[in-house]
Parts: sequence; structure tokens; C-alpha cells
Amino acid sequence: MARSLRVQDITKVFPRSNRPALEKVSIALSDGEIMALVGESGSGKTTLLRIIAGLANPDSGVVEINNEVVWSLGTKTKLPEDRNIGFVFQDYALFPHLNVKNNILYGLHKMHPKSERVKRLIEIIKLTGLENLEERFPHELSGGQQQRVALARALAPKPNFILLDEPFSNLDPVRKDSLRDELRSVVKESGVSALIVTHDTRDALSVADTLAVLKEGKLEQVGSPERVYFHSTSEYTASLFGKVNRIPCQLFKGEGAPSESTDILVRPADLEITKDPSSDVHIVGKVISTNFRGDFHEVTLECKEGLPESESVTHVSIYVGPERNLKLGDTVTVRRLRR
Amino acid sequence: MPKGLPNINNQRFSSFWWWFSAAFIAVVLFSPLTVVLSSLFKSPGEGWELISEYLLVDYISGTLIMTFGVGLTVLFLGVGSAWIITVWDFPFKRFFSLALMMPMAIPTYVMAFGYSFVKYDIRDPLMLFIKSHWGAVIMSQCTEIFNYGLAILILSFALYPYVYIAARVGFSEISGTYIENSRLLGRGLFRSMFSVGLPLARPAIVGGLLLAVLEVMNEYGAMTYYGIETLTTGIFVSWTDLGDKDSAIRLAAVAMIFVLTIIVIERLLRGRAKFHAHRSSSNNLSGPTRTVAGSTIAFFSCFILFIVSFALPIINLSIDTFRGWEKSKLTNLIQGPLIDSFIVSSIGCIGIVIAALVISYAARLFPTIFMKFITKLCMLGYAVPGAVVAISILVYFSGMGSFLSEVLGFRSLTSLLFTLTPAGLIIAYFVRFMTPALAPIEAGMIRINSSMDEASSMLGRSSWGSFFNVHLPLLRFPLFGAMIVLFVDILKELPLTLVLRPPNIETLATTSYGLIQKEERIADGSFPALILVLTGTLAVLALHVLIRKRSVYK
Repeated sequence: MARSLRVQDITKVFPRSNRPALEKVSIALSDGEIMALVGESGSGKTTLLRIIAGLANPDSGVVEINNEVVWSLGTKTKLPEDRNIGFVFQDYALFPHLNVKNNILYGLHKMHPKSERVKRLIEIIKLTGLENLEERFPHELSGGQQQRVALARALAPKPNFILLDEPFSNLDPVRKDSLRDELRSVVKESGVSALIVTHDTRDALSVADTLAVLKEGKLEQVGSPERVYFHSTSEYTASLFGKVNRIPCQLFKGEGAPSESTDILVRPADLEITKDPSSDVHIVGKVISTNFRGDFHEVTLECKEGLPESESVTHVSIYVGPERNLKLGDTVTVRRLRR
Repeated sequence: MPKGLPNINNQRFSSFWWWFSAAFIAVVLFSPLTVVLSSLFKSPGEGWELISEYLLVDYISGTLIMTFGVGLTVLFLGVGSAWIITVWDFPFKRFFSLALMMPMAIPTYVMAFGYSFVKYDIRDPLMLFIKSHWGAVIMSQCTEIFNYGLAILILSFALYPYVYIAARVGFSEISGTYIENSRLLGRGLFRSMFSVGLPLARPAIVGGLLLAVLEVMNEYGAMTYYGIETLTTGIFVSWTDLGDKDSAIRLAAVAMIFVLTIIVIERLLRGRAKFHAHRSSSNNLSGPTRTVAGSTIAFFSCFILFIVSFALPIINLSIDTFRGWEKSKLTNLIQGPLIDSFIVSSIGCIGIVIAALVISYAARLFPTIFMKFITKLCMLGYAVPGAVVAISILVYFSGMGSFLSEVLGFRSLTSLLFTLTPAGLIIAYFVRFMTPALAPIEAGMIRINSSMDEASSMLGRSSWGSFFNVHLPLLRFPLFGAMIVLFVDILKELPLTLVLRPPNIETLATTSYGLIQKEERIADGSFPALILVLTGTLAVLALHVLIRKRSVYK
């Protein structure tokens, strides 16, 4: 498959820092793919984005755009202005002295003849739904509209791919969900691949085709949202994406072999209440709190029974539909959903 | 390094142009000043003995009396009027808040000319009266005291707006929230202003005071008009009257030491108190006090200050102009100077703004200690008195001229170039007036988010493309403001222009000074002085509108 971006073994250490900001990170972006780079603040995700853009340089590694090396140690560096990458900044960085039209036209200065620019402008305004806003200035736009202009400006010069730095952090939480879906559909329609940096895992799950999880400068896991969510390779990743239950259990290694104590990680959504305790691995617990969460109740159980070393108490969260009316003190049996 | 600004400019060829240009400008601006400082290490000439024995004490004491006298008076007038405007409510308050800035439009020496009637109609008869009663010795002492007092008052009328504006900013913008807090904690407005407003505004006030005191050091016209001897007038005396170049340079060095001492004192007064401007949601203090007696006193204080510092000198100049209107053909008299002034000011003002843009953009592309140092170096000239700058430029370029003629066999080409053309004069303006351009442009640059630069380069623009398409249009307000300030500064500049102008150039400032001071033709000299005031007034009003328009844009 064609690769619009390949990043290989990128390492970066900032001066006066004892830990590398990035350590041998490699990712690749296929044509038309949307990848989300997820991590806590300080995980190095923005640094990686800036290195790809050319706004910062790594200490070692290789950056390839469309199979052309744009950075490697010792060889000539391609400057950001020559890489043809679209960049949507966290604060959108719209030029305050230019209206929407001229902001979008800003990156089209190399396009000739001029009629081509206008054609592209009309195309991109239609794609991003900015009709009737062309003459407005950035300060006359809402947050969502500003984001669309930033996206339009980045897409206009037909970039190799686009980079988005925390694109949702400045949005009104109420409108955020719909703007996120809108962004995804515009990017998909444009056919350009995109790399999105975000610390909000909910955004990442719903907008990306692929997730890449960064932890303290190292790549933790790469995969589809479903895979990363339900089959996290580490407890860090699992808890980064949402609530997870850690349940101690015994691991049987066949007849005669001694059993081993271990913990399993199960998401609340992976547990269901069952009436038939006999068929499956199950745990029994007493309801100690229920919290209304809208579509469901989050119910916390205190479990002793069915767990090894039963003197220790484990708290397990489950999601329960509104039809089930659980009260404090009720005892329920819970088993793992099969997926 | 400010967050986000890329270190990648090190790889950008186009960026280095900015770096080299900024470094070049700094070298050109600073190297003449080294001439003056290096003179301290040379053995003094014969003339210096004479000066140091008889005149130096007078020069230094004159400078001290004037700086302290004017310093204290502007502090009283400036802080007092700002205080009244901030905490009292009275009729025409809005008018006065602008009107009290207007003396900025009057050059100090023009203020002195505006009070010429005191010299002739009050001082001289009074001194004759003293002479007839107590004798000539008492009279000469009284004359000196009178002159000092008058000069201190007149300079203070012209210079208090520096402190007034600084104190206004300090009182309202910086401390708005603090004052509100203090009032909510149960202190009245008056006590809040004393216990919170004044200490918080201190750094700003001291900054304004510094500017005023530096202007006193720079002053030449008003000093000679009232016969006061300072280091600056001393430089002129030894340069032009005694023809003693070496001594003039030595005096210039002494003046520089004086200035550096003042700057150090300012730093000490400011101390560690580095208060930052907190953006308050409500910048204006709500509910200033209003009582009949208080408002009356407030109104008359402001009214009297406005009359003596602005209206009276202008009326007097107008009367003088009117008196001389028919006697000579005034329009013929000032036509040449008017054209020369506007040409010189325009060239200087545009050139300086371009240089300031280059320096501030280079400092943005390369946020290094070296670039900060270069910026500071370029700002040094503003503290140096005009006479000192003038001497440095003359000596530096004639020295360079003779060096070149020795080495290359040219017949002192550069020396000719810099004495017979305005080139030396323009460079001197660069040295002296880089700060009024650099300070607002730098502040404007800082307000441009670094993501603007990055967005521009991600959209395929080089550092040049970004500069012309992003930074330049975003800087239009500070640029325009800097150009207004520079134009007026150069237009009214006197000591520099007197020394460095080629014989065929005559500005409004030098014409006015020549006619009034040298030839005592007050009626003729008042007209060019009045034009200077008019231009200055328009500039102050334009700046006022500009600042208000800008705050609307935000």
C-alpha cells in the first residue's frame, strides 16, 4: 500500500532533560488513512508532529514523505515550507488580518494561473461548507467555523497529508461531538490522509482509523480503535481509554499443573449480569454504589466470593441499563461477555 | 527560547540575511559611541586643563541642579495630575485627561521661547529694580537663581507628560483589579490608591521620570536661552566657540557617565519590583469621588496646569507671530526650512522604521542571547544626549575618512561625504531615535503568536514571504505609531541638527532657534516654532486616535 508518511526510529532529547522526549518511534500513514496519536501531556506526541512538519528536528531517525527522505541525520533537511504538509494548529493560527477567502488562498501562491486558485478556493469552500462566510474575518467566526477555515486552509494546497494538533481542545463541549464527526467526513471526502494528535481518547476512538498510543516518548500500541480499546496490550493503554476493572484470578495450566495467580483487565462494558452462575466464569458481588450516567447506571460491586485469596476485597464496575432496578446491598452475579 | 519558535531557522538560508543585516545595523549604530568612551583613556589636551579648572564644576552643578529640579517638579506635576484624573470626578475630566498630554507637542526650547515674555517683561525690570536697591552683585546672584527657577519650571511644563502618561497607565491599567480588591476588602478609594495603587504604579512612574530626566540631559536650546550651563551646552562651547575637539569629546564622555549613572539609579529605584500588567476586565476605576469642594480644586488644578503648560506659551507665540506678520515676509523665511525639515524627517523616519523592522524580525527568527544584546545595543542611543551623538558621529566619520585616505589614497572622501551631505545627520538620527521605533515594533512582534510564523511556513512561505504577508500587515498599527513619533522627534530635534547639518540645510528647529536665540528676532522665530507645535499637536492627537482604534480592534 502506498505510504504518504513513514517515520522510522525517531529519537529526540531536549537539552536539560534526563528522559528522551521520543525514543525510537516508528509509525506509517497509508494513503487516505486517519491516524490518531494519543497520549498524556508530555508523552511526546506534539514533538513528533512538529518533527514530521519540519518545525523541529529529531536527534536521529528518518522521516519519509511519499517515499522521499525529508530528514535523516547528516543529509540535507527539507524545510517545512517545502514539505507540502497541511497543518491545523491547536489555536488554528488563522491570520487575523485576512478574511476567510484570503486565509484559504494564502497557501495557493504557487498555483498558476490565477484562475486555478479561484477554482480550488471554490472547491474547498464547498467541501468544508464555508459558503457565505468567505468575507468574514477570523474574529467574526465561531470556534467550529474557525476550525473549518483552518482545515480548509490546510487542505487547499493539496498537501501530501495533513497534521492536526489537538483540533478539538478549543471547541465548545456541547457541539464537540458533531464537529468531530464533521471533521472526519470532510477529511475522508478530501481523500487526504491525516495524523491527529489528541489527549482526548474519546475523540481519538471515534475519529481515527488507526490509533497510536505514546507513553513517555515510546510507542505503546498501534492498531484499530476496537483492537486498542478491547485488546489493549498493557494496563496503561487499557486505563488510558476508559474505566477498566482489575480482577485477580487463578490461571489453570492444565491438569496437575499448579495454578498461578494473576490479574485480568476487563472493561465494565464487557461485563454483564447473569442469572445462571453455573455455565461460565463468574463473580458475585454486593452493590455498594450506583451512579446515573444517562444511558446507563455505573454500578460498583464489592466482590469477595469466587475470587482467590478471598480476604481481599475487589471493587468491580459494571454498566447496567435503566430497566434493571438495582438497590444498594443487592447481590448480583456477573460474567464476561463474549466478543 | 520562547516556546514553539523553531530552531530550524539555522538551516534556512533566507533567514541569515536578517541576521547579518541586524548585526550590521547594530555595529553602525554603536561604533560611533565607542569613540566617546575611548577618549577617557587618552591623555587630555591643553584645553581640557582650562575647562576642568574653571568650567567643569559649573557644568556639572548646572546639570545636577537641572536634573534634580526638573525631576522633582515633573514628579509632582505628573503624578499629581494623574492622581486627580484617576480618583476625582469633575467637569471636563475627559477633556483634561487628553489635554494634559498636549505639552508633549511642544519642544522644550519652543516652550522656552513661548515664555520669552517672562525674560523680558518680568525678569529684566525686576533685576533692574534689585540692582538699583541692592547693587550689581546681589542682582547677578538673583538673576542666576531666577534663571534656574524659570528654566526648571519651563522644562517641567514641557516634560511632565512623560510622568503623567506613565502614572495614568500605572494607576488604571495595571492596578485596576488590585484596587477593586482593596476596595472590596473595605478600604476606601483614597486609601486604596495610597496603599496599593501608588506602589504598584511605581515602576511605570520611575520609567516616565527616566525619560524626562534624559530629556533634561539632552536639552540645549532652553538652557542657552536662559543662560544655564550644563554638560551639553559645555560640549557646544568647547566644540564651536573654543574649537577644542578633544575637550568636547571628554565632556561628552562625562555626560555619558552621567547618563549611565541615571540609568543605574532608575534600575535601583525600580528594584525587584517588576510588576506585570494584569489585564483587568474593567480597566477604569468605577465610582471616583465627587464632592463640590474636591471637584472644584481638581478642576482648577488641571485647568491651571493646562493653561501654563500648553495654552499660555502657544498664545504668546501666536501674538509674537502676529506682531511680526507684516514686517517681514514670513512665508519666504520658512519655505526652505519647511521643505528641508519634511524631507529630512521623512527620510529619517522611514529609514529608522525599516531598520527597526529588520532588527525585530531578526530577533524573532533567532531568539538568542546575542540577538537580545544587539537589540539592547541599538536602543542605547536614545539615552545619549544629542550633542554627544553628534560629536561621536563627526569624530568617527572624519577619523574613518582620514584612515581611508591614508590607506587607499582617497582625498578624505568619506569625511567630505559626511560633512557636506545629510548622510551623517541621518545616521545620527538612526543612532538617537532607534528606540522610539524599535520599542513599539518589538512589542507588536511579541503579540504575534509564534504559530502564525509556523502556519505561514507550513503553507509554503519562506521567512521573506512570511514577513511581507503576515508580520508586516499585522504590525501596521505599531508601525504607523512609530512613524508619527519619529517624524515629530526628528522634526523638533535641535542639538544634533545644529552640529551635523550641512550648510545648505536649515530645519524649522534650527531656523527658529537661530532667529530667536542668536538674532533675538522673536517675532520671526515664533512662526516656525508655531508650525512645530502644530505638527506635534496633530501627531499627539493622531496617536491618541490610533491607540483607541487599536483597542477597538482587539
